[in-house]
Amino acid sequence: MDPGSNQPSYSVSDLDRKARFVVLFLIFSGVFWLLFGTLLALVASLKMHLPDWLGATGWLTFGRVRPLHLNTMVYGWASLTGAGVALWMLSRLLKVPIMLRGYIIVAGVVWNIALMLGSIQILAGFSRGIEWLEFPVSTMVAIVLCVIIMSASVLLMLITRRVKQLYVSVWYIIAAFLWFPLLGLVSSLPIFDTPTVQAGMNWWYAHNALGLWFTPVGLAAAYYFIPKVLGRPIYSYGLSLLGFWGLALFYNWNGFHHLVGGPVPTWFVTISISASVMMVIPVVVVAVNHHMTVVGSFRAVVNSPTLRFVVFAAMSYTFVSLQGAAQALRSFNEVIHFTHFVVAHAHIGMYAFVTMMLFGACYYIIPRITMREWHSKGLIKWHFWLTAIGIIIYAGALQGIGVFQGFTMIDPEVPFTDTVTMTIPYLVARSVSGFLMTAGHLIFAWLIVRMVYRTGEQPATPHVWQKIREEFAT
Amino acid sequence: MSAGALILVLSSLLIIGGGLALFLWAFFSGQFDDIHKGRMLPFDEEEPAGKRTDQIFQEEPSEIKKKHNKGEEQTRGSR
Repeated sequence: MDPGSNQPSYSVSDLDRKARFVVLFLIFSGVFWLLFGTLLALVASLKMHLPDWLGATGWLTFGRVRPLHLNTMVYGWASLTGAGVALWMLSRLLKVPIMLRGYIIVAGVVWNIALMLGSIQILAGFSRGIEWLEFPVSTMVAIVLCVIIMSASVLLMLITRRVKQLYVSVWYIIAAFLWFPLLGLVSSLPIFDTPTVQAGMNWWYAHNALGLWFTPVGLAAAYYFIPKVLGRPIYSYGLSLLGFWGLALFYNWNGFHHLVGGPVPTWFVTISISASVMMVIPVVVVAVNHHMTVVGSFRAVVNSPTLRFVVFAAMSYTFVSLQGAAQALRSFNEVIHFTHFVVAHAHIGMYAFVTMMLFGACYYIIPRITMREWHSKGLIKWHFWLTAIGIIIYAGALQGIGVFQGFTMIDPEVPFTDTVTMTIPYLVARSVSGFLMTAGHLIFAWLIVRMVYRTGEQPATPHVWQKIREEFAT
Repeated sequence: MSAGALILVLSSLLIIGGGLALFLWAFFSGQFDDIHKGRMLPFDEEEPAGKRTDQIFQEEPSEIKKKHNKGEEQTRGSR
């Protein structure tokens, strides 16, 4: 902690070199699950408008493919890659190498095996039947234990850090690594046996997994990469802390707004609705802070693959959070509950915000830890536009029809079948957007594989940013 | 209230209590003493503020020149 102590200080390139293997391992594992989850997503999406397709094979039915899509994306792609990104940022911000690297590799291997076994069990029909928690308890407990090993690494880094003051990203990351093990363990307890209590636990867990695990990692990345790429400090450090403590105090109660109108005590739901609306404060604070930092640097955003994704993701965070606060209101919820609107809302959160943020982070991190330059600038642009346009079509189509579907569903004059058939063209649009995003993911996977397994001639130094680093040195 | 619901409420309070404890620790260990310095934390001597990074889509001067030259050659050829 004391800069004058006799411990060696690490340069940025030392830290990146030490992080290389463990961070690459976590990102590669994540991308494997991204591709697997994308395949499941396409199958599930096509089944929505081609209900007979693959319907005769038990393990390919919608009820198994769709939950597995959610679980592999959440615990495979977003968690593994997010952990890699978070550990790398923490190492840079605390100026110490990632601790317990060997243990984290072992944890990563166990995590991947647990995901595979869990996937087989879901496809074989042994799902737990709780949304976001379909993996068997054994898989969940294994994953949580792996996260606890990473949490130990995070705490060790915090204790041995070489800087006194903690940047806002560090706050978010520490909090995420403390909250997620608690969420995972509580949700695995065998005490939620009555249906209403189980539903309460379900949405307490699922909403907090998004808000207290993925959101902090995503926001930590936004607060790190925006200033880093622009070379301009964040607009207000004080505001950024207000945003963090606001999230820490308000988010945890949000989950029960999923049960508006359900047979749970009204005060449970009312607390959730108030907390959901209170989340507007930290969200607006974060949005203002990011906007004031980026404003006036549009060229720099366009010229940087990282910032294209990160700024898109940060804008999506503001949008999805304000939308979420509105959706929690009873009057709004009455219309959109049980419609495609909510499905799209979840995808704006997990895809347009979390996934795009992780893509952006990967574009910054991988050249620095491998000391190599991206293979093709054109392909990065393709990746950005395919995924960005894909998720915009997805959200636009489903949220547009979702509102009409909701109004039709509460109209007793309209037969239920009509509320289903009216959505079919929009479900086709969803599949089309799914193909666009799949193409983007394949490009991304190809780019990072090219980065590590290179063939033929290649430049010795990544010219663009190496030059910048030399400029700094002189 | 059933055991499950009680555990949920207690866990929620634990999350908030943990947050408050973290905040008090931060406050009394002087994390908020110099709030203006905090924004410079992502930067250091090796990568200082004021320099953009990751501008890989920016056309480098040599590339722009090359394009320019190519254009000239083409016009010359057509003449």
